[in-house]
Amino acid sequence: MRRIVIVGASVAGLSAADALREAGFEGSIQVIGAESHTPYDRPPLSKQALAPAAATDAFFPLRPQEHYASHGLDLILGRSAARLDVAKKLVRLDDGESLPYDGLVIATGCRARTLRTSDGDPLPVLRTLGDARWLAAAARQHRHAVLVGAGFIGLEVAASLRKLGLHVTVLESAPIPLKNSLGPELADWLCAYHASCGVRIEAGVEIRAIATANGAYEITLGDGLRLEAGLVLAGIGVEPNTDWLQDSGVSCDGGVLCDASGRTNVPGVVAAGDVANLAAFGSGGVNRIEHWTHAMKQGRAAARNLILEESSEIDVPYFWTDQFERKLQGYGRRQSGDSVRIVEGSLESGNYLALFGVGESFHGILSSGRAKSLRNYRKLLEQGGTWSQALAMASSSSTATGASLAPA
Amino acid sequence: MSAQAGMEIHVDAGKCLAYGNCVGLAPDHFDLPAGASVVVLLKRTIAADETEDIDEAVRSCPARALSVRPAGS
Repeated sequence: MRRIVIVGASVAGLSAADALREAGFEGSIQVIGAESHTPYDRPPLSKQALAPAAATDAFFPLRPQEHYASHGLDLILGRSAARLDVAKKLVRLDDGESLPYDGLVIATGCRARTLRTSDGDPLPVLRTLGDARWLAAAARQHRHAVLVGAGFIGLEVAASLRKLGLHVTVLESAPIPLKNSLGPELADWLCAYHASCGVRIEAGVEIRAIATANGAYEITLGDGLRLEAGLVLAGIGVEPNTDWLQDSGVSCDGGVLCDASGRTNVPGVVAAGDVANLAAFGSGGVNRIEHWTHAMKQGRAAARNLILEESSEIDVPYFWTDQFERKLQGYGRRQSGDSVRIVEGSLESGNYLALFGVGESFHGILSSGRAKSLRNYRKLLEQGGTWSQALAMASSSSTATGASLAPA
Repeated sequence: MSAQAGMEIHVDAGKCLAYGNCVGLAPDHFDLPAGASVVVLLKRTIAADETEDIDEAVRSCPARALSVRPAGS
């Protein structure tokens, strides 16, 4: 294998590139980035980029500038992949140029789902650096903001705009925001925390109309309530960027279908990151793990699979989110029907460690300000540990300092 | 550079953005007290059974503020 093309100058794409070099790959590596910026990191866009003291040209590089030359990475920026020909092993770019490859890494990520006004104009979203710079400027020109969608990133933006002094209303169609991720108890805690910080969350609402007049928005809800705001942002989920793979022969359904090592149905073509759907082939299911560390790990795994034919397991998913002064960090995934057990701290204090599971199944753990307790539970999740083992771990760590934390 | 026993951890305080991912992965080495804007290094040295967690912490830092180096370098 002499030429590897990586489509997506992202966490997954650059992690793949680094892993190729670490594994001793000496051929050419071309990294295609649709945006003209050198590769940047997205987590700060909803937080640091919107901070009161943030520079208007704040930038969050994924790698230092010299990294690309020192690792022999050929960045092709401001151009996107338009088509893939797996028979000829060519990536066709939007300007017509074709790049030949021996190995291909698909790391094209996701784009924000569009919500339109009643006149058909798309509402602003937050996905790119350009979006963040626009939002930071707009936040300084308006006093009222309405955010559509109470996901983690939507609520991070709510917190950031509130800190900039705006009146912030968040609209959510689900009766309890983030119930699937957090369960009702912790979801209620997070909503109450936001309310205590001055964010108004309207859950279980239907948006009937979004009109624009005189540079402002008027939003009409299903119960007739009207909201006016100069700033409106949609945060209603994402769609995988797989359009360019249509008719290529690479199986796509809710993302690029692949395994934990990124292996697709086409030899020599691997996928990683937000665009990757880890659901079983033919199941029709969607299992995209849209988290930073997963993109990093699967990018590395996909690269090693490509040149070394190594296989990896799906790691326990990890995510973090900053909500005002609280930092939430979680491993695993809460599943529908799980109960929650607070094993350290309390919801009232806002500082706690929560376990999710049902029966003997231990599914996940969430920390608010208790990150130092996460490690042993992560290892237990990795080992497929049980609910009893998780509870035993909790009681041993609360009753004995320095006691062995090995699962019972 | 991958972590090996006897190496030391280095934190670039100018880069750290207090993500705290390292604290969850290697709590014996890192801490992020409430309100802190930069991670605190509790232990610089790396033992043989800690190399995997430290490598994971280094790679999981979006700010690329962590590195490992041969001791004394």
